Amino acid sequence: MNAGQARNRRLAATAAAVALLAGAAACSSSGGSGGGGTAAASPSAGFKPGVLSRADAGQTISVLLPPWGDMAQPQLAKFTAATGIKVNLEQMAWDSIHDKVVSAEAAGVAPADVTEVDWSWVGQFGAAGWYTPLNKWLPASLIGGSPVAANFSVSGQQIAMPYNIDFRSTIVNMTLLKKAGITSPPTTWAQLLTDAQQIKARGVLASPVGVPLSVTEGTSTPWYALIKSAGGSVLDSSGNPAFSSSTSAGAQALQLEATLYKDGLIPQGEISLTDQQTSNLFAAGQIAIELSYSPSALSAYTTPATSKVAKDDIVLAPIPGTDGTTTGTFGLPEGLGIPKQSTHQAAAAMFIDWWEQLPQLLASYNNPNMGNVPPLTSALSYLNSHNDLIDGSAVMAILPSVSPLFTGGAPTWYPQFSTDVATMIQNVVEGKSSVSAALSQLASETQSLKAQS
Amino acid sequence: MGTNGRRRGTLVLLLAPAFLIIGVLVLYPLGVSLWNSVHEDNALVFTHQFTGGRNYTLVLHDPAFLQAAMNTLGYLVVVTLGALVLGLGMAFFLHNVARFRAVALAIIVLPWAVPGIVTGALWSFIFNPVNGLLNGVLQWLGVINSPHIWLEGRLTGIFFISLTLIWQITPICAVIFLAGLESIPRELYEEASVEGASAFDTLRLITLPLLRPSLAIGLLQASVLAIGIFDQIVVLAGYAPGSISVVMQLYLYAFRDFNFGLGMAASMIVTAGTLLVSLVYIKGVYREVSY
Repeated sequence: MNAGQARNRRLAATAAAVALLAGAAACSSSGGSGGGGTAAASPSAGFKPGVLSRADAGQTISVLLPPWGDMAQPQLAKFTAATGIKVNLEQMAWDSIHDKVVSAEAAGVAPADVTEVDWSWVGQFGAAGWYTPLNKWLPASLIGGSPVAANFSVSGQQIAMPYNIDFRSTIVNMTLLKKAGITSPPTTWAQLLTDAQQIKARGVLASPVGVPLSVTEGTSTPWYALIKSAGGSVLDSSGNPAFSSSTSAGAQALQLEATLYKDGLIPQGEISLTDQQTSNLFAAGQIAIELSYSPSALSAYTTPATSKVAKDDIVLAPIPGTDGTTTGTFGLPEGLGIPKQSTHQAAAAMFIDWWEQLPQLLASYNNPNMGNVPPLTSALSYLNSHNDLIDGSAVMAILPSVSPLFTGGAPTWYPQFSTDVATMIQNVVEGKSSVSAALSQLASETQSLKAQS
Repeated sequence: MGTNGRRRGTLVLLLAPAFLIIGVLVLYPLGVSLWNSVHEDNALVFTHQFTGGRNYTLVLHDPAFLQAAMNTLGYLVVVTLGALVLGLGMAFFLHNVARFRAVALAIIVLPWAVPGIVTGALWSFIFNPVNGLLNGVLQWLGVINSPHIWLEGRLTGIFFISLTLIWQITPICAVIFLAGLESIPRELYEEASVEGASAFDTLRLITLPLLRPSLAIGLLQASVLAIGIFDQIVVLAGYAPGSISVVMQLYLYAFRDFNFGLGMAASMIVTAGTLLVSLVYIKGVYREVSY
C-alpha cells in the first residue's frame, strides 16, 4: 500500500464513521422495550390519599413538564415546607417530553418521578403500562371533580390527573362581524357559511374563517370538533370508524371544510399553516372566526403586546352545530402522571395532590407563563365568581358539553390516525380526492391500524 | 522492554481514548441497533423475539418508507448541487477579496451555527403563504399579483425546503472549499499565465483538479445533512407524506408507533445508504493531490 492509498483509506474510514454516526445516532436504544411488565406500586398502609404528610420528608422528586408547567419556585417552596419533599422541576419542549418518556421507558428507567401526560398519549402509554394508576393514590372526589379526568382513564385506571382543561371552541372577533352587519356568532354550519360570505362580500376580510390545513395535529382537531358539535363521533362504541356513511357527521364536517376552502372563505395559504400560525392570523386581524381553538388563546388575543385586535370585541362561542344545538365538544387536557419506574411513588402522588389544590391551580392560571385553565369544576366556579376567568360565562356554559373524544382513552394507533386524518383533509380541500373516496380510504386505513394493534 | 516496545506502548496509550470514544459512541450503539433490528421490539407487544430479516422486509415494502426515500433523494440532489455551486461561488469570492475578509467570512458562516429547528422557524416566516416575507417582497416588486403557496405540491415543497438546508450547509462547504483554494501554490497559476492559459483553462486544469479532496469532503458534509434532514421539514410541512424524509420515517416507527425494531431496521438501511453515497464521493470525486 503506498502513501496515497493509505491516506485514501483513512479518508474513507473517516467518511464511514461520519455516515455511521448520522444513521446510528438517529435511532439508538439500549435494549428491548421495557417497562411494560413493571407492576404498579401500591400505597403503604399509612398513606392517606388527599393528605399532605411529612412521611417522605427528605426525598427529592424530579418533575418533567413543558414550559406552561413551570410553577414558580416560591410556590414549589410551599410544597417543600409542607411535606419536606424537595422538587426538581425540569422544563422541556412538549414533544421532547414524549420522546424522553418513550426513550427512558424503552430503557427501563423512569424519565422522572412526575411527568407530563398529554391526552393524545394516553392510549399508547396506557397500553404499554408505563404509568401508575392513581385511583388508590388520589382521593376519588378529586378525580370525580374534573370534567376532563376521563380523558386519562384506561380500562378504569386513572393513569394521570389533568392540570388544565383545554377544549375546543370557536373564537370570534365580533368587531369585524359587526362591520359586516352581523350581530352574533354563528350557531349553525349554514349560518357560518352565510356570515363568512357576508364578511367577504362587504369587503371586511377576503377570507374570514381560520382553519389550519397543513399535515399536523392542529388540522385533525377541527374536524373532530365539527363532528362532535354535529352530535356525531369519530369512532363508534366498538372502535370502528363512524364516518364511512355519506350522511355521517364526519362526511358532512369534511364537506363543510371543503366548501369553506373552495369558496375562498378560508385563506388559501392555510394549506401550509399550523394551528399556531392560524392563531397568529387571528391576532393580526386577518381572520374573524377561528373555527376550532383553545379558550386559553383568549388571554393572548386580549393582550395588546401579543395582539393587534386586543381592543376588539373577542368572544368565545360553542362550535357551530348542524341544527343550532351544540351537542358537544371535546377536551384536550394535559395531565400529571407517575411512571411506574419511579422510586418515589408516594412523594410524587402527594405532589400531584398538592398541585390540584386551589392555590396552585390559581397560580398556574394567573402566572402569565403558564395560563392553565383549572381542570376542576370547583376552581373554575371560584374564578368565575370572582370575575377572574376570561369570558367566564361562555366557558362555564360550554363546560358541561365537554367530553372525551374517545371513550376509554385514545386508541394506541391514534398518532398515525391523526396524521392520516390531516393528510385526508388536505387532499380533499385541494380537490385531489372526493369526500366519499377520502373517507372510504381513511376507514380502510383505520381498520388496518386497528387490526395491527 | 526495548525502544520498539516502549514506542508501541505509547502508541497504544495515545490511540486508546480515540478507540474508546469511537467504540462507545459509534460501534456500541451501532451494534445494539443492529441487534434490535433483527428482533421484535415493540413497547406495545412486550416481546423481544428474534425475527431475522423480517423488519427489513417490512420497511422495504412499506410505501411510506419508499416515498420518504424518494423525497430524501430529492433533498440530496438539490442540496448537494446547491451547496456545491453556491459554496464554490462563496469560496472564490472570499479567496479573491482582500479587505474585510474576516468580517465577510464571519457573516457567511453564521447560518451554519443556527440550529435546524430555528432555521425552519425562520424560513416559515419567509414562506408563510398569507403574510410571509417572500410573497410580500415579490408582490411589492410586481413579480406576482397574489400570494403564492410556496410549499404546495411535492416537488416544489422539496425544492423550497432544500433551500433552507442549502442556506445552512453552504457556509461550511465554502470554508472547506476555501481551505482547498488557499493551499494551491500560486506558482502554478503564474506558470499557467506565462504559458498563456485562459481563465477557464486555469479553472478546468488547475483549480478544480486540485480542489477534489476539498470538494469530496464538502459534498460529503452536505449529503449527510441532506439525508438526515428532520427539523426543517417538521416546522415547514409537518408530517406531510410528500415532504417526509427517511429519518423522519424511522422516527415515526420508533417514537410514534413504538416499534423500535422497525425503527432500528430503517436506521440500518439509512446508514447503509449514507455509506453508499459516501463511497461514491470517495471513489468518484476524491483524489490524492500533491504539489
